[in-house]
Amino acid sequence: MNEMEMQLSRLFNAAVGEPPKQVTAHAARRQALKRRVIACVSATAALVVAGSIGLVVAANAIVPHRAANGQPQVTMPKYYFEMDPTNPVSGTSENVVRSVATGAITGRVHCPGRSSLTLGATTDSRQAFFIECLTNSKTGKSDETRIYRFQVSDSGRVSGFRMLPGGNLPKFLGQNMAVTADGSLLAIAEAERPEVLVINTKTGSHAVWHSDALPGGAILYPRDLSFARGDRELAIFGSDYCVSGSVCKPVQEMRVVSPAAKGGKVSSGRQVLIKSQLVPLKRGSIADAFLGPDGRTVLATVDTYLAAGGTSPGVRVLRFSVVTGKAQRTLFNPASYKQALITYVDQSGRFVLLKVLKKHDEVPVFGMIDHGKLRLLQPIRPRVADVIAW
Amino acid sequence: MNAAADEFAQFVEVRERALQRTAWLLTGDWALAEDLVQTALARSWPRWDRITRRDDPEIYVRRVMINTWSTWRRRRWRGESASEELPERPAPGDVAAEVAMRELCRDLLSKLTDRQRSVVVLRIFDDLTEAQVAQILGCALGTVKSTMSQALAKLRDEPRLADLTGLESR
Repeated sequence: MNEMEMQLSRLFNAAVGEPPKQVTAHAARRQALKRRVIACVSATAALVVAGSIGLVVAANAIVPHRAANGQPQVTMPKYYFEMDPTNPVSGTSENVVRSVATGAITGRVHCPGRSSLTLGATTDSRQAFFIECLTNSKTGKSDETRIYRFQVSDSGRVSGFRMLPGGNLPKFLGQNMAVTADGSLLAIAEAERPEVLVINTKTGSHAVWHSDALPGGAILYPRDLSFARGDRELAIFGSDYCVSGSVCKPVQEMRVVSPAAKGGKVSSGRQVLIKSQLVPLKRGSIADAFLGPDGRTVLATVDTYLAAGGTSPGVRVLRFSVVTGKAQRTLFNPASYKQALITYVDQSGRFVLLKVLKKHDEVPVFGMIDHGKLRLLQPIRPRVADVIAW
Repeated sequence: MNAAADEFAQFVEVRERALQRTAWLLTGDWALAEDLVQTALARSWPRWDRITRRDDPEIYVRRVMINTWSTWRRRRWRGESASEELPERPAPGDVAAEVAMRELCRDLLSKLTDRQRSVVVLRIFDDLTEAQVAQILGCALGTVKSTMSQALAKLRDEPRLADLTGLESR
């Protein structure tokens, strides 16, 4: 210690003097106990407040109803998938992943082959997407289908693109597709033959549902597919065609076959919807129909014609009860649109994507039904895209 | 538990005055110094077993004290409350000289930053080694040395210190 430090030491000692009061161990321990009690009370109060806030937020959040099969609840998708099979610039499919909030492109998928047709996704849209790519065979005709699987990350990037086991389908022209909530089964309709192929995505094994002659002689040509009650039921919606020579009335109907993974004859399935239940035979048609995840309701788009003109003055999206056989509720009834098509329904049945055409427009726009209104997808613009899914 | 309580009580009995003096040099107020020491002890007590096993209890308590004081310094409101009674008691002896000395001490220390003040008090008044000061403040030995050097340089320029102690300025 140098001299200055010693002087400072003397100054400090002289200035400090003696403390007027004594601090006791008992007082310190009592203060420690008081601090602990206060900390406990504060933590409890914070938990109660946080819990209350959580309950209020949870009560107000948009949460879709729980699927009947006990699958986890589905939240609003963060990304959607836009598929343009006829890109004139590149000559190939232009498939992009876009943010629902901003419309910004976050990822791209290149379909190996000539073009892509449809897309299916699992409950959690990021878990697994399945894309159907068409390729040219040696004859130059698109008659080979390959199904690929990929994931979309939290940031919207595409990863893990690979062919599905059993996804190479020569001499098969795939059309519409459906996937179970857990991604274990994939159903795909053949465009030229009345049959539906069901693929086990883990083993790659195939099962086929053949459309044979229904009572009356008509054959159901499958169009829209949907799974219900987990992977047990497969709903096939389509139009009946009369076999040449037979006398029958062509109608539109939905049949549910089960167990979905087994395959068999479509005629063995039970009829859950017939066109006349939603619209008189000569006054309109059902554009799309998908069975809800609980198997009790059908989501359908109905076009109604003018009696004489044959134009389409009205379009409605409604929910139909399989139990009562009647339309339950109109979800969307736009006055300014002349056409609407359901392009995708997520596994919860809550988030419905629509392709709509305004009365004086030629190019459609895409949006989702939200509390009876159409919320257009970002970026809001007419699109040549053919398939939009999430 | 009883052994720990006995040990704690013994430590408080022996060291509380020294701790209070250090606290006074930091705070410049006996009431605050008492609060500071009691808070530091209250924070140390729940971990007393661990402290005595792993550390020098005095170093630990002083570290808690310095950290608590730094936290109080950062707060706008310093926990003071109005009271009808004056906290200071009338002191016997040469009040004027004592007050002058105390004021000078407070003024000198108030010119220093919090860290400089801590280093000067711990190093000069408590006569701790530089290594112990570094341990209390949680910094490097070199930092203690340079902080001490800067603090002394500041104090050297203070003419009242030279007048009082007879120390010649540079």
